[in-house]
Amino acid sequence: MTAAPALVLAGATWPAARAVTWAPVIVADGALVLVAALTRRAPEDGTMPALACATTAAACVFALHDRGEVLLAAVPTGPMRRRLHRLSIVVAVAAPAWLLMRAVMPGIRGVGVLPVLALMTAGVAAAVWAPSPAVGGAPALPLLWVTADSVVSGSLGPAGDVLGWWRAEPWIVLVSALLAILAGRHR
Amino acid sequence: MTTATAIQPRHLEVRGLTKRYGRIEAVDDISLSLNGGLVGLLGPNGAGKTTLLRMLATVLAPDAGSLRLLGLDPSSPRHRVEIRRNLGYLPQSPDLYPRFTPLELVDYVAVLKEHTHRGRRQAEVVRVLTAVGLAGVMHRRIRTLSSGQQQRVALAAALLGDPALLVLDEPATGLDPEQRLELRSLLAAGAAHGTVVLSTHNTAEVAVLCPRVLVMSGGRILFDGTPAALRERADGMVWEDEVPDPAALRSWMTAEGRYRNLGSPPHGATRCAATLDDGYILVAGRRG
Repeated sequence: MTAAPALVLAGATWPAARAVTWAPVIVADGALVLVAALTRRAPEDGTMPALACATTAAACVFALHDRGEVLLAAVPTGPMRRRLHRLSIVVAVAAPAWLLMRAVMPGIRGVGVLPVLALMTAGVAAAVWAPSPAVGGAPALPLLWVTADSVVSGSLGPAGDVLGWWRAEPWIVLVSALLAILAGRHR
Repeated sequence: MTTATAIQPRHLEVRGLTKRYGRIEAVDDISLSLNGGLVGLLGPNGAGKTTLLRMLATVLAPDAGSLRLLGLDPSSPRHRVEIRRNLGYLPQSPDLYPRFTPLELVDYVAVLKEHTHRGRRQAEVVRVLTAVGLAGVMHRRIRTLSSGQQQRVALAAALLGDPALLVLDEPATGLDPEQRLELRSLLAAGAAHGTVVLSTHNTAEVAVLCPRVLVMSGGRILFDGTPAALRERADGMVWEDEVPDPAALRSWMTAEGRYRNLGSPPHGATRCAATLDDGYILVAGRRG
């Protein structure tokens, strides 16, 4: 029996969405809204937008972890196709959630979806290329990146500018990460 | 729609298969040929059984050697997909989605196995769940099921579509004796039209089910033959005594409080009839 991949993925969308671990996305976004509400009178220094981007991206990467991956290892719908399908489901939910957060959190009003997508895609690329024991650490990449950008980029000179690409040139990060994911599609 | 490649349902050929993890050769230059039926894979923990099965299930690529599964080459992406369309794989202790019901989970696997016609798919899902004895709990959440029932959910997913090649890693884990009997019937039915390769620690299971048994240790196949031939390896090499014999390869206490010794019996020893366990221990223990 053979079937078009699009037909297979269309049929798999609802169960795949149910199989996603949504709790980290909900908890992370809820916590950010709470922090924003509690600190709404504090002067904005850029920390809140960066934290919001990194936390949302990290939560999305975490949500991509599929606990059924071992069970599904030998189905004809390959792991890369399943991961991208899962990614599209998470993005379809996380992007409107991010826009909603922007509406209720004045501090991140100027931050678009692209930096979040760039960080998230970088986290996915890390998950694709990381050796098996380190795959679980991939969701930490957006948080580590943004922390490094805030803490050490100033002391690294021109090289430190690269750390700021996720916000200054997110499309470069996004395209590079997508290419890395594509290159690792048989992993 | 894509064009399907012709498969040979009972053809499985392995030549010089090798897989290394760092310096450890998990599978070391294995060659074998199967022509359908049920093949049992025995071996101690760390023998390389799971690594071999993962390669047979197209989940893991070998470092060296060649594989032909159902007459196709799994290193070719197109052939690999075609093999997977005709393959059922039960990994060792797979994680399931606890909030799904068995019906929902097996249906999801069926969709990913390209069973896109809703009516036929649902009939097939109910068929395999009934075959593994889960018809009565197919609407309960998986987290509420026993470990044996969860194992059978994963087995049902592997049986979808009556695959020509079934690769099962310790399928009897967590099953009670009655469930084991049902499993035997299922596997025998699968072997009638294709190839079933199963790993187990249970020699009794192999004796009942498998006309052919492979014993692995240290990444190599040390025995390939019938269960009777494996038992015969230990003929004349088993004796019992009041004390363990230091010259024996292995000694263990029986339920009667005597010691069963395996190896070259000393002069005057009371020899016992060998069992399949004796043959297995003799073969698997020699290398390590």
